[in-house]
Amino acid sequence: MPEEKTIEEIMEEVKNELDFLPPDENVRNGFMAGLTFMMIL
Amino acid sequence: MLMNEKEQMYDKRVERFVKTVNHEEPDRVPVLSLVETMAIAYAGATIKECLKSHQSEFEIYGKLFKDVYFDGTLGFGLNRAMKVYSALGVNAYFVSEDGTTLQHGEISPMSDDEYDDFIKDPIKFAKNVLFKRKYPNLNLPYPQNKEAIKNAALGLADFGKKMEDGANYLKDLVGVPVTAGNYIISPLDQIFDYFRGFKGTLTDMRRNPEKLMEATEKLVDFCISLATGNATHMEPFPWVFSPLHIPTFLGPEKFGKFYWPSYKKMLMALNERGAKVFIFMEGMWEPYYEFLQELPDNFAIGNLEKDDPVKVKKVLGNKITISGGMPLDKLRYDSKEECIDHAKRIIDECAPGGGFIFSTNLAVLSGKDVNIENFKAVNEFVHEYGAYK
Repeated sequence: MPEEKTIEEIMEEVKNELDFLPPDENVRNGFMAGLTFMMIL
Repeated sequence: MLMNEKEQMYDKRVERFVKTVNHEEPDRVPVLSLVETMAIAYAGATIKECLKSHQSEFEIYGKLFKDVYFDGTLGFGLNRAMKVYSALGVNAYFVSEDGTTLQHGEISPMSDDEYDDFIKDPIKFAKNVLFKRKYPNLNLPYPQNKEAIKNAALGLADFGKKMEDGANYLKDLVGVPVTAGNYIISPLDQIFDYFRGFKGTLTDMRRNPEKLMEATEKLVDFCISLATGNATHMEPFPWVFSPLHIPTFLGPEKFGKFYWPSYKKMLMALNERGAKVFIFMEGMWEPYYEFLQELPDNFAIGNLEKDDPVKVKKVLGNKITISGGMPLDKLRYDSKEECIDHAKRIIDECAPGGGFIFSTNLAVLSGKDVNIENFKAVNEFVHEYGAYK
Protein backbone atom coordinates (compact mmCIF):
# COMPACT_ATOMS: atom_id res chain seq x y z
CA MET A 1 0.00 0.00 0.00
CA PRO A 2 1.61 3.33 -1.02
CA GLU A 3 2.27 5.84 1.72
CA GLU A 4 -0.28 8.68 2.02
CA LYS A 5 1.22 12.14 2.25
CA THR A 6 -0.23 15.62 2.28
CA ILE A 7 0.45 17.96 -0.63
CA GLU A 8 2.45 20.17 1.73
CA GLU A 9 4.69 17.22 2.62
CA ILE A 10 5.09 16.25 -1.03
CA MET A 11 6.00 19.82 -1.99
CA GLU A 12 8.66 19.78 0.72
CA GLU A 13 10.11 16.58 -0.77
CA VAL A 14 10.03 18.07 -4.26
CA LYS A 15 11.79 21.20 -2.98
CA ASN A 16 14.75 19.11 -1.88
CA GLU A 17 14.94 17.11 -5.12
CA LEU A 18 14.98 19.85 -7.78
CA ASP A 19 18.50 19.52 -9.13
CA PHE A 20 18.30 22.63 -11.33
CA LEU A 21 18.19 24.83 -8.20
CA PRO A 22 21.26 25.71 -6.12
CA PRO A 23 21.48 24.12 -2.65
CA ASP A 24 20.67 27.45 -0.93
CA GLU A 25 17.58 26.86 1.24
CA ASN A 26 16.30 30.42 0.71
CA VAL A 27 16.40 30.03 -3.07
CA ARG A 28 14.54 26.73 -2.86
CA ASN A 29 11.92 28.16 -0.51
CA GLY A 30 11.47 31.15 -2.82
CA PHE A 31 11.01 28.94 -5.86
CA MET A 32 8.41 26.81 -4.09
CA ALA A 33 6.57 29.94 -2.92
CA GLY A 34 6.46 30.97 -6.59
CA LEU A 35 5.09 27.55 -7.53
CA THR A 36 2.47 27.82 -4.78
CA PHE A 37 1.43 31.23 -6.15
CA MET A 38 1.17 29.80 -9.67
CA MET A 39 -1.01 27.00 -8.31
CA ILE A 40 -3.25 29.54 -6.59
CA LEU A 41 -3.73 31.39 -9.94
CA MET B 1 20.25 49.25 -36.46
CA LEU B 2 23.52 47.83 -35.16
CA MET B 3 23.58 45.97 -31.85
CA ASN B 4 25.39 48.81 -30.13
CA GLU B 5 22.74 51.26 -31.34
CA LYS B 6 20.01 48.98 -30.01
CA GLU B 7 21.70 48.85 -26.61
CA GLN B 8 21.94 52.64 -26.55
CA MET B 9 18.29 52.91 -27.58
CA TYR B 10 17.36 50.43 -24.84
CA ASP B 11 19.18 52.47 -22.19
CA LYS B 12 17.62 55.70 -23.47
CA ARG B 13 14.15 54.17 -23.29
CA VAL B 14 14.68 52.87 -19.75
CA GLU B 15 15.81 56.37 -18.79
CA ARG B 16 12.57 57.82 -20.23
CA PHE B 17 10.48 55.62 -17.95
CA VAL B 18 12.65 56.14 -14.87
CA LYS B 19 12.66 59.93 -15.24
CA THR B 20 8.96 60.32 -15.88
CA VAL B 21 8.03 58.10 -12.91
CA ASN B 22 10.16 60.44 -10.75
CA HIS B 23 8.18 63.39 -12.17
CA GLU B 24 11.12 64.67 -14.15
CA GLU B 25 10.74 65.51 -17.83
CA PRO B 26 12.55 62.96 -20.01
CA ASP B 27 13.57 63.73 -23.62
CA ARG B 28 10.24 62.33 -24.91
CA VAL B 29 6.92 61.03 -23.63
CA PRO B 30 7.46 57.27 -23.34
CA VAL B 31 5.10 55.04 -25.32
CA LEU B 32 4.20 51.83 -23.47
CA SER B 33 2.82 48.65 -25.01
CA LEU B 34 0.05 46.80 -23.21
CA VAL B 35 -0.11 44.34 -26.09
CA GLU B 36 -0.74 40.77 -25.04
CA THR B 37 -2.11 38.05 -27.33
CA MET B 38 -3.06 40.56 -30.03
CA ALA B 39 0.56 40.18 -31.21
CA ILE B 40 -0.26 36.58 -32.17
CA ALA B 41 -3.17 37.60 -34.39
CA TYR B 42 -1.02 40.36 -35.91
CA ALA B 43 1.58 37.80 -36.94
CA GLY B 44 -1.14 35.57 -38.46
CA ALA B 45 -0.20 32.84 -35.99
CA THR B 46 -1.89 30.87 -33.20
CA ILE B 47 -1.18 30.06 -29.56
CA LYS B 48 -0.53 26.47 -30.62
CA GLU B 49 2.31 27.70 -32.84
CA CYS B 50 3.68 29.80 -29.96
CA LEU B 51 3.82 26.71 -27.79
CA LYS B 52 6.07 24.83 -30.25
CA SER B 53 9.20 26.43 -28.80
CA HIS B 54 10.33 29.59 -27.02
CA GLN B 55 11.99 30.75 -30.22
CA SER B 56 8.73 30.35 -32.18
CA GLU B 57 6.90 32.39 -29.55
CA PHE B 58 9.52 35.15 -29.59
CA GLU B 59 9.47 35.40 -33.39
CA ILE B 60 5.67 35.56 -33.46
CA TYR B 61 5.46 38.24 -30.76
CA GLY B 62 8.45 40.14 -32.15
CA LYS B 63 6.78 40.92 -35.48
CA LEU B 64 4.50 43.56 -33.96
CA PHE B 65 7.39 45.26 -32.20
CA LYS B 66 9.26 45.58 -35.48
CA ASP B 67 6.27 47.32 -37.06
CA VAL B 68 4.75 49.48 -34.27
CA TYR B 69 6.70 52.06 -32.26
CA PHE B 70 7.09 51.43 -28.53
CA ASP B 71 9.53 52.57 -25.84
CA GLY B 72 8.69 49.65 -23.58
CA THR B 73 6.26 46.83 -23.06
CA LEU B 74 4.60 45.59 -19.90
CA GLY B 75 5.20 42.02 -21.05
CA PHE B 76 6.49 39.99 -23.98
CA GLY B 77 5.02 36.60 -24.84
CA LEU B 78 2.32 34.45 -23.28
CA ASN B 79 2.05 35.49 -19.65
CA ARG B 80 0.76 32.25 -18.18
CA ALA B 81 2.85 29.21 -17.28
CA MET B 82 0.79 26.77 -19.32
CA LYS B 83 3.08 23.78 -18.61
CA VAL B 84 2.48 24.13 -14.87
CA TYR B 85 -1.24 23.64 -15.32
CA SER B 86 -1.02 20.83 -17.84
CA ALA B 87 1.33 18.96 -15.46
CA LEU B 88 -1.32 19.24 -12.76
CA GLY B 89 -3.99 17.86 -15.05
CA VAL B 90 -6.16 20.87 -15.73
CA ASN B 91 -6.50 23.53 -18.38
CA ALA B 92 -7.05 26.53 -16.14
CA TYR B 93 -6.41 28.68 -19.19
CA PHE B 94 -8.01 27.64 -22.45
CA VAL B 95 -7.61 28.85 -26.00
CA SER B 96 -10.38 30.77 -27.74
CA GLU B 97 -12.06 29.41 -30.87
CA ASP B 98 -9.89 31.49 -33.22
CA GLY B 99 -6.75 30.09 -31.57
CA THR B 100 -5.25 33.48 -30.71
CA THR B 101 -6.39 34.46 -27.21
CA LEU B 102 -6.32 32.84 -23.77
CA GLN B 103 -9.36 32.71 -21.54
CA HIS B 104 -9.90 31.77 -17.92
CA GLY B 105 -13.07 30.46 -16.31
CA GLU B 106 -14.05 31.57 -12.81
CA ILE B 107 -13.02 29.14 -10.09
CA SER B 108 -14.20 29.12 -6.49
CA PRO B 109 -12.90 25.96 -4.77
CA MET B 110 -13.45 27.22 -1.21
CA SER B 111 -16.83 27.18 0.56
CA ASP B 112 -18.12 29.79 3.00
CA ASP B 113 -17.81 27.51 6.04
CA GLU B 114 -14.07 27.00 5.57
CA TYR B 115 -12.84 30.42 6.66
CA ASP B 116 -11.63 29.18 10.06
CA ASP B 117 -9.40 26.55 8.44
CA PHE B 118 -8.18 29.12 5.89
CA ILE B 119 -7.41 31.74 8.57
CA LYS B 120 -5.50 29.22 10.69
CA ASP B 121 -2.92 28.77 7.89
CA PRO B 122 -4.04 29.94 4.43
CA ILE B 123 -1.14 28.47 2.47
CA LYS B 124 -1.28 25.10 4.21
CA PHE B 125 -5.05 24.99 3.62
CA ALA B 126 -4.63 25.97 -0.02
CA LYS B 127 -2.04 23.26 -0.59
CA ASN B 128 -3.68 20.39 1.26
CA VAL B 129 -7.34 21.07 0.52
CA LEU B 130 -7.97 23.59 -2.26
CA PHE B 131 -5.23 22.46 -4.65
CA LYS B 132 -6.61 18.91 -4.56
CA ARG B 133 -9.98 20.28 -5.62
CA LYS B 134 -8.45 22.25 -8.48
CA TYR B 135 -5.88 19.83 -9.82
CA PRO B 136 -6.91 16.23 -10.68
CA ASN B 137 -3.33 14.94 -10.79
CA LEU B 138 -2.83 15.77 -7.10
CA ASN B 139 -5.43 13.11 -6.29
CA LEU B 140 -3.39 10.38 -7.94
CA PRO B 141 -1.72 7.93 -5.52
CA TYR B 142 1.74 8.76 -4.18
CA PRO B 143 4.25 9.02 -5.85
CA GLN B 144 2.29 9.82 -9.03
CA ASN B 145 1.01 13.03 -7.46
CA LYS B 146 4.59 13.90 -6.50
CA GLU B 147 5.65 13.40 -10.12
CA ALA B 148 2.91 15.85 -11.18
CA ILE B 149 4.24 18.49 -8.78
CA LYS B 150 7.79 17.88 -9.97
CA ASN B 151 6.69 18.36 -13.57
CA ALA B 152 4.83 21.53 -12.56
CA ALA B 153 8.06 22.80 -10.94
CA LEU B 154 9.94 22.07 -14.18
CA GLY B 155 7.19 23.93 -16.05
CA LEU B 156 7.66 26.94 -13.81
CA ALA B 157 11.43 26.91 -14.27
CA ASP B 158 10.90 26.74 -18.03
CA PHE B 159 8.48 29.67 -17.84
CA GLY B 160 10.96 31.76 -15.83
CA LYS B 161 13.69 31.07 -18.38
CA LYS B 162 11.32 31.95 -21.22
CA MET B 163 10.46 35.31 -19.64
CA GLU B 164 14.14 36.15 -19.18
CA ASP B 165 15.12 34.98 -22.67
CA GLY B 166 12.14 36.82 -24.18
CA ALA B 167 13.21 40.13 -22.62
CA ASN B 168 16.72 39.63 -24.03
CA TYR B 169 15.32 38.68 -27.45
CA LEU B 170 13.26 41.88 -27.60
CA LYS B 171 16.21 43.97 -26.46
CA ASP B 172 18.37 42.53 -29.23
CA LEU B 173 15.59 42.79 -31.81
CA VAL B 174 14.44 46.39 -31.37
CA GLY B 175 16.03 47.78 -28.19
CA VAL B 176 12.72 47.78 -26.29
CA PRO B 177 12.73 46.98 -22.53
CA VAL B 178 10.16 44.86 -20.70
CA THR B 179 8.91 47.16 -17.95
CA ALA B 180 7.41 44.69 -15.46
CA GLY B 181 9.67 42.27 -13.62
CA ASN B 182 7.34 40.86 -11.00
CA TYR B 183 3.63 40.32 -10.52
CA ILE B 184 1.49 40.68 -7.42
CA ILE B 185 -2.15 40.15 -6.60
CA SER B 186 -3.69 41.79 -3.56
CA PRO B 187 -5.07 39.59 -0.76
CA LEU B 188 -8.73 40.35 -1.49
CA ASP B 189 -8.28 39.87 -5.23
CA GLN B 190 -6.73 36.46 -4.53
CA ILE B 191 -9.79 35.47 -2.53
CA PHE B 192 -12.08 36.97 -5.18
CA ASP B 193 -10.31 35.57 -8.25
CA TYR B 194 -9.13 32.21 -7.00
CA PHE B 195 -10.80 31.05 -3.77
CA ARG B 196 -14.38 32.31 -3.40
CA GLY B 197 -15.34 33.77 -6.77
CA PHE B 198 -17.48 36.82 -7.50
CA LYS B 199 -20.72 35.72 -5.87
CA GLY B 200 -19.01 34.12 -2.87
CA THR B 201 -16.80 37.12 -2.06
CA LEU B 202 -19.62 39.66 -2.31
CA THR B 203 -21.87 37.42 -0.19
CA ASP B 204 -19.10 37.02 2.43
CA MET B 205 -18.88 40.82 2.73
CA ARG B 206 -22.46 40.88 3.98
CA ARG B 207 -22.69 37.61 5.91
CA ASN B 208 -19.15 36.99 7.08
CA PRO B 209 -17.31 40.34 7.04
CA GLU B 210 -15.03 39.74 10.06
CA LYS B 211 -13.78 36.41 8.72
CA LEU B 212 -13.19 37.87 5.27
CA MET B 213 -11.14 40.75 6.69
CA GLU B 214 -9.16 38.34 8.86
CA ALA B 215 -8.49 36.16 5.82
CA THR B 216 -7.10 39.09 3.81
CA GLU B 217 -4.85 40.06 6.73
CA LYS B 218 -3.56 36.49 6.93
CA LEU B 219 -2.51 36.63 3.27
CA VAL B 220 -0.47 39.83 3.61
CA ASP B 221 2.82 38.22 4.66
CA PHE B 222 2.64 35.65 1.86
CA CYS B 223 1.89 38.39 -0.69
CA ILE B 224 4.74 40.59 0.55
CA SER B 225 7.12 37.66 0.48
CA LEU B 226 6.17 36.92 -3.14
CA ALA B 227 6.27 40.54 -4.22
CA THR B 228 9.67 41.23 -2.70
CA GLY B 229 11.28 37.80 -3.00
CA ASN B 230 12.25 38.45 0.65
CA ALA B 231 14.77 41.03 -0.59
CA THR B 232 15.58 44.04 1.56
CA HIS B 233 16.31 46.19 -1.50
CA MET B 234 14.54 46.27 -4.88
CA GLU B 235 15.37 48.18 -8.05
CA PRO B 236 12.96 50.93 -9.19
CA PHE B 237 12.93 49.45 -12.70
CA PRO B 238 11.51 47.16 -13.99
CA TRP B 239 8.32 47.71 -11.99
CA VAL B 240 6.13 45.34 -10.02
CA PHE B 241 2.89 44.76 -11.94
CA SER B 242 -0.31 44.88 -9.89
CA PRO B 243 -3.61 44.22 -11.68
CA LEU B 244 -6.68 45.16 -9.60
CA HIS B 245 -9.93 43.34 -10.18
CA ILE B 246 -12.65 43.70 -7.54
CA PRO B 247 -12.19 47.33 -6.31
CA THR B 248 -14.57 49.14 -8.63
CA PHE B 249 -17.34 46.63 -7.89
CA LEU B 250 -17.19 47.59 -4.19
CA GLY B 251 -17.69 51.33 -3.79
CA PRO B 252 -15.42 53.42 -1.56
CA GLU B 253 -16.83 52.28 1.79
CA LYS B 254 -16.32 48.55 1.21
CA PHE B 255 -13.03 49.25 -0.59
CA GLY B 256 -11.75 51.09 2.48
CA LYS B 257 -12.88 48.30 4.77
CA PHE B 258 -12.05 45.11 2.88
CA TYR B 259 -9.49 45.94 0.21
CA TRP B 260 -7.29 48.89 1.00
CA PRO B 261 -5.80 47.97 4.42
CA SER B 262 -4.11 44.74 3.30
CA TYR B 263 -3.27 46.05 -0.17
CA LYS B 264 -1.70 49.20 1.24
CA LYS B 265 0.53 47.09 3.51
CA MET B 266 1.82 45.27 0.42
CA LEU B 267 2.42 48.53 -1.42
CA MET B 268 4.27 50.10 1.50
CA ALA B 269 6.51 47.03 1.79
CA LEU B 270 7.45 47.50 -1.86
CA ASN B 271 8.02 51.22 -1.40
CA GLU B 272 10.25 50.65 1.63
CA ARG B 273 12.49 48.46 -0.52
CA GLY B 274 12.78 50.99 -3.37
CA ALA B 275 10.43 49.30 -5.87
CA LYS B 276 7.88 51.06 -8.09
CA VAL B 277 4.49 49.53 -8.81
CA PHE B 278 2.46 49.59 -12.02
CA ILE B 279 -1.20 49.46 -10.97
CA PHE B 280 -3.75 48.38 -13.56
CA MET B 281 -6.69 50.54 -12.45
CA GLU B 282 -9.51 48.63 -14.09
CA GLY B 283 -12.84 50.45 -14.30
CA MET B 284 -13.54 53.98 -13.00
CA TRP B 285 -11.43 55.04 -10.02
CA GLU B 286 -12.73 58.54 -9.37
CA PRO B 287 -14.52 57.54 -6.13
CA TYR B 288 -11.22 56.12 -4.83
CA TYR B 289 -8.78 59.00 -5.47
CA GLU B 290 -8.58 59.86 -1.75
CA PHE B 291 -7.07 56.43 -1.07
CA LEU B 292 -4.41 56.90 -3.72
CA GLN B 293 -3.48 60.22 -2.08
CA GLU B 294 -2.16 58.14 0.82
CA LEU B 295 0.58 56.63 -1.37
CA PRO B 296 4.15 57.95 -1.29
CA ASP B 297 5.11 60.39 -4.06
CA ASN B 298 6.70 58.97 -7.22
CA PHE B 299 5.97 55.38 -6.22
CA ALA B 300 3.01 54.23 -8.32
CA ILE B 301 2.17 54.26 -12.00
CA GLY B 302 -1.59 54.06 -12.49
CA ASN B 303 -2.89 52.77 -15.81
CA LEU B 304 -6.29 54.36 -16.40
CA GLU B 305 -9.12 52.51 -18.07
CA LYS B 306 -12.19 54.73 -17.72
CA ASP B 307 -10.85 57.75 -15.84
CA ASP B 308 -10.19 60.99 -17.68
CA PRO B 309 -6.37 61.38 -17.75
CA VAL B 310 -6.65 65.19 -17.79
CA LYS B 311 -8.70 65.18 -14.60
CA VAL B 312 -6.39 62.64 -12.94
CA LYS B 313 -3.41 64.82 -13.87
CA LYS B 314 -4.99 67.72 -11.98
CA VAL B 315 -6.02 65.71 -8.92
CA LEU B 316 -3.26 63.09 -8.59
CA GLY B 317 -0.66 64.25 -11.11
CA ASN B 318 1.93 65.17 -8.47
CA LYS B 319 1.40 61.89 -6.63
CA ILE B 320 1.32 59.10 -9.21
CA THR B 321 2.48 58.70 -12.80
CA ILE B 322 -0.43 58.47 -15.21
CA SER B 323 -0.31 55.75 -17.84
CA GLY B 324 -2.93 55.62 -20.56
CA GLY B 325 -4.67 58.20 -22.70
CA MET B 326 -5.61 56.08 -25.70
CA PRO B 327 -8.92 54.20 -25.47
CA LEU B 328 -9.01 50.98 -27.47
CA ASP B 329 -12.45 51.82 -28.88
CA LYS B 330 -11.05 55.01 -30.42
CA LEU B 331 -8.20 53.08 -32.01
CA ARG B 332 -10.71 50.61 -33.35
CA TYR B 333 -13.52 52.82 -34.62
CA ASP B 334 -12.25 56.41 -35.10
CA SER B 335 -10.37 57.78 -38.10
CA LYS B 336 -6.60 58.16 -38.02
CA GLU B 337 -6.97 61.95 -37.80
CA GLU B 338 -9.40 61.72 -34.89
CA CYS B 339 -7.06 59.37 -33.03
CA ILE B 340 -4.08 61.68 -33.56
CA ASP B 341 -6.08 64.75 -32.49
CA HIS B 342 -7.06 62.94 -29.30
CA ALA B 343 -3.45 61.89 -28.62
CA LYS B 344 -2.24 65.48 -29.18
CA ARG B 345 -4.74 66.85 -26.63
CA ILE B 346 -3.76 64.24 -24.06
CA ILE B 347 -0.05 65.01 -24.47
CA ASP B 348 -0.62 68.76 -24.27
CA GLU B 349 -2.52 68.35 -21.00
CA CYS B 350 -0.69 65.46 -19.32
CA ALA B 351 2.95 65.55 -20.40
CA PRO B 352 4.21 68.79 -18.74
CA GLY B 353 6.36 68.08 -15.68
CA GLY B 354 6.73 64.36 -16.44
CA GLY B 355 4.70 61.74 -14.64
CA PHE B 356 3.02 60.65 -17.86
CA ILE B 357 3.31 57.53 -20.02
CA PHE B 358 1.29 57.17 -23.21
CA SER B 359 -0.45 53.81 -23.62
CA THR B 360 -3.76 52.19 -24.43
CA ASN B 361 -6.33 52.17 -21.63
CA LEU B 362 -6.56 48.37 -21.69
CA ALA B 363 -4.48 45.34 -22.55
CA VAL B 364 -4.67 44.58 -26.26
CA LEU B 365 -5.80 40.97 -26.48
CA SER B 366 -7.50 40.38 -29.81
CA GLY B 367 -6.60 41.23 -33.39
CA LYS B 368 -9.88 43.13 -33.61
CA ASP B 369 -9.21 45.31 -30.56
CA VAL B 370 -7.59 48.03 -32.67
CA ASN B 371 -7.33 49.22 -36.24
CA ILE B 372 -3.65 48.47 -36.67
CA GLU B 373 -3.07 51.39 -39.04
CA ASN B 374 -4.39 53.77 -36.37
CA PHE B 375 -2.21 52.09 -33.75
CA LYS B 376 0.93 52.53 -35.85
CA ALA B 377 0.11 56.14 -36.78
CA VAL B 378 -0.74 57.25 -33.22
CA ASN B 379 2.38 55.74 -31.64
CA GLU B 380 4.62 57.29 -34.33
CA PHE B 381 2.90 60.62 -33.79
CA VAL B 382 3.33 60.50 -30.00
CA HIS B 383 6.98 59.59 -30.33
CA GLU B 384 7.57 62.61 -32.60
CA TYR B 385 5.20 65.12 -31.01
CA GLY B 386 5.96 64.09 -27.43
CA ALA B 387 9.46 65.60 -27.43
CA TYR B 388 10.05 67.85 -24.41
CA LYS B 389 11.46 71.24 -25.39
